[in-house]
Amino acid sequence: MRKEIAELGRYSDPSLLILSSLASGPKHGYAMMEDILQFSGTRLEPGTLYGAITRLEKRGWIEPLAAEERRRPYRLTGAGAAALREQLATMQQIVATGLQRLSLA
Amino acid sequence: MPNRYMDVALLLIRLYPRAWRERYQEEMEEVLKLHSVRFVTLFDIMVGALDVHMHADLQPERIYSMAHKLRVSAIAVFCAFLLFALAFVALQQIVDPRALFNAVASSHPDLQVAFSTIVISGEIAFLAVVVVGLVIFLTAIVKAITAKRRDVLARFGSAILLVMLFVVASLIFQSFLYGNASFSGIYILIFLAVLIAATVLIVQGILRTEFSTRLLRYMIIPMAITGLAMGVSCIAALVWLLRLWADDPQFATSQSMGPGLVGGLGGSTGFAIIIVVMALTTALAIVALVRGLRTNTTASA
Repeated sequence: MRKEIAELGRYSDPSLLILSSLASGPKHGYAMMEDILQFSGTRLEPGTLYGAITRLEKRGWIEPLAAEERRRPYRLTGAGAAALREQLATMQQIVATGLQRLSLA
Repeated sequence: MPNRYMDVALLLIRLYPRAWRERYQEEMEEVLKLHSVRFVTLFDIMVGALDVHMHADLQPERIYSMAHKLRVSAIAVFCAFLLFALAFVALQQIVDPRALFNAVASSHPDLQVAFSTIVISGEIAFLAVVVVGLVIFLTAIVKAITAKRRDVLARFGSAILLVMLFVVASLIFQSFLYGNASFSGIYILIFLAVLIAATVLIVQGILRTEFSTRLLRYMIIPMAITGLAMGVSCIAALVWLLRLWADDPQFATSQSMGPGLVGGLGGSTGFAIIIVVMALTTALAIVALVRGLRTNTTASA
């Protein structure tokens, strides 16, 4: 799974942010951008957002819901939640290791 | 929010492949309208478009092109049938008055068989196209209401209003129109203008609606019935006209079927045009049908 996230290339970080955003419930494009800005301080641009959405949808990690007016919400799938959980666990391990080594230095 | 950036950004979305735009353009435009569009946004969109072009697997071509092709096939069959129906109605004037034709048909059963074939197959084509039209139209209305698509609803509403205005005006001026044959040409022109305008509005609405591929695939069956029935009706019409002229030239001439432009478009040239229109529209419907069937087969494979 980790390998697959790495395959997303320059879209791996935006993808992780999108998966994290959708973990709290379905959102449409702009709501995701606002949420991501709020919890991570990262301002995603629409081209990057939809580049990541296309890849995540293709992998079956998120799925579109019925459009509301011209907005289409997306939700996290089971496979998407698993991928996010695994990626976050890896990051948590990196954070713990980094902090531990810093405290020793 | 500088408007000049916004306009350019909306324009730049067109750089994405068509199949991708069919799927994501509307929602991306909505995001842009709420977003603070900057120069970096424009660059980001350009890079995004290039990225999708470079990664063919990112293009939702197969699924969304399939839905689009099936939708276009259904629209083409519908429009072909509308033109076919006009020619079909024009053809019926030959048997007016009916009593006179019945007398001819009683002595020439082949004429009666050919004429019945034209009418029955024409009615079958009509019923099948009504099924396709109603299912697609009602689905589009429900989807437009659910998704609050004002642009689609405005088009459907305008088409319905236009047709209703024409019907009401026709009823009001019915007695005037019966009494003034010279206005019949203008009336027919107005009718055609209303028909074209209403059709264009409905087609625009349908093209802006997202249908499930499954629903459109089911529509192939009534579309096939329409195409086949139009073909049978067209061949029967040709046989019928030729036999009518051969069996009873006197009747044919009396019904303005004489050679040349007798009675304007009512002459043999007029009927030739009717047959050509029926043949061309049938060909159009069959081409659209084959395209739809190919798409359907590719999807099933």
